[in-house]
Amino acid sequence: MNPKVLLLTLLVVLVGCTKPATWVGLAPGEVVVHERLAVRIDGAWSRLDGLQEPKHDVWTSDGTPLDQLHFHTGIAEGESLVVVKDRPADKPIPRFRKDMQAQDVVELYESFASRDGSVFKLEKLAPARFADEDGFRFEFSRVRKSDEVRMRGVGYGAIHHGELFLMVFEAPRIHYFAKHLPRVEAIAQSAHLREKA
Amino acid sequence: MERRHFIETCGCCSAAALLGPALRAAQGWVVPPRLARPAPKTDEGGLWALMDREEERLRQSPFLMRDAALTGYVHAITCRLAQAHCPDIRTYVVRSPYFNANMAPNGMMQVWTGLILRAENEAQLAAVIGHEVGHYLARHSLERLRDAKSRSAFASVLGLVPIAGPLAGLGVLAGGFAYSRTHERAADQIGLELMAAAGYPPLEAAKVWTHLLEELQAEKDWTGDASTRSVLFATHPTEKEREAKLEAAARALGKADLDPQAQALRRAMTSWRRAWLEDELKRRKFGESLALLGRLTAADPQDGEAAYFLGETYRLRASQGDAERALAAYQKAAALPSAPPEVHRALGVLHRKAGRLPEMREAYGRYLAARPEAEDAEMIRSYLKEGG
Ligand SMILES: [Zn+2]
Repeated sequence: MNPKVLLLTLLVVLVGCTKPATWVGLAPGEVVVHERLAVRIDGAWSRLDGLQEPKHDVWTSDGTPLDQLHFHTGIAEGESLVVVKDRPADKPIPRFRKDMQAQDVVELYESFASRDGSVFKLEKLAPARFADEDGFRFEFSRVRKSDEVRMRGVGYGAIHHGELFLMVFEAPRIHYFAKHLPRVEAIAQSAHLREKA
Repeated sequence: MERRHFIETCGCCSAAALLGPALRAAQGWVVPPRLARPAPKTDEGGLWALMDREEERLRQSPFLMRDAALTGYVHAITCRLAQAHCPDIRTYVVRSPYFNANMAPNGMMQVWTGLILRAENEAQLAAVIGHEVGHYLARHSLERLRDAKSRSAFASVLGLVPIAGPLAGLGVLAGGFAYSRTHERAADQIGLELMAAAGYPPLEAAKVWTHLLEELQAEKDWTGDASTRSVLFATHPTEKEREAKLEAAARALGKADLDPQAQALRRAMTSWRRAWLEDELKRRKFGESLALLGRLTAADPQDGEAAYFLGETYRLRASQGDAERALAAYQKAAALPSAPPEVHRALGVLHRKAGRLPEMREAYGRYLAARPEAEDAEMIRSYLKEGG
């Protein structure tokens, strides 16, 4: 498939964004995602601009078909992970509840990641520090429905004062996941919360 | 029925088609001789070549079920129905939670797992397969191709439309064009006759339809209105009448005392049913899932797996009173030997949220005892340590 078509398809599928988006390179150093989550990066990340999502950010290193890093920052009780537009009325929107446990949060992410019919499988779930909280770390695999590429992913999550902070990286199992994993782990380790302004 | 829509929108594919408006076509019909491969230069040859490419794609799809026993079981049903045509047919089981089956003119038969999951017995599965074999034997797709009116629609499907998106690789082209009402009627009647000839009680075909209508109605009750979204309701306003007609045609064929083979089907899907039920829940069609699981738990009150998934559906729906319903279903399941160990984890979650720590520890303990290597074992062990 034409990579441009694929990219556009992905953006529409994953982000629900209809206007053309642009990628903006991020400078190395500290980046504060939506004013709530501070991380340190080594450069070579681009941020999707024009997403118009107050609590969701998408980054990539080699382009979104090849790797994606998602941030969900400060999702509050009753909110969905992403802003949902044009959702068929008969499909309930999975929402965050502040009494959710790690498994529930993974399931919430799964409903987002598999809404195109992809096959998602949780591979590991364990306690982990994230964003100054006792949170959790999970690994998963996913067969991406649009092109049947086998993906691998890793995520970190924590609930702080009833708000969810989630960071998930996903890339094709072949080559790209391993290529970026150490950088992604470093970003997760560097994450610090910022209280609401 | 526009079968393409059916597949795209959801559930109910050929079952809608299963019911023609009347069923008198093709009476006294005899199974035609085997179809020869058409010359490549002809319309039909072109169609076959296209389907061959689709089939190649399907063979490589990660959504293809690669369980020889399961595929062999379904193929054997196809063969019982298709009789002498069996050598010309390849059967593929596709992992997808939607109710669907279709057969391409080149002999590629697809049966989706959402259909197998919903069949109560082998005869009900045979009813849908038989209908699809009916289209094949009567070469309806070729007639469609030659029908001038449908040509442009067909070309757009054959298309030259690049297949991408959620249905890539599922051989969707094969079922991608609409049959006429006349063809549906004929396929219904052929299907019933093939069922009877193969030793299946034809009346089971009507039950497939009844169950689907129940599921759609349940979805409608839950979401408020399914009619604007269900292709089936939109295009089949008199479905009750059709249900009655199919039933009448089935009764006319008699053979009601034949064994519908419930155990055989259950055995064939045993090792997969759990995964398919998980797929079902991911559709987030809670009304339909509750109707399905309600039917399964009523049919077999000792079915711990179905009781567990009933609880899961309520938990995920999370509507008023669903937490209590989920708890009740889990507790019922936990007492049954056939429940998966995850039922104890589910109980653990509810107990932990409610602050019932001794109950939480007991439930999580049972889960970890059964699944010490579970992917979330570390997480659960951390819950057991907390709170003293
Ligand atoms: Zn049909």
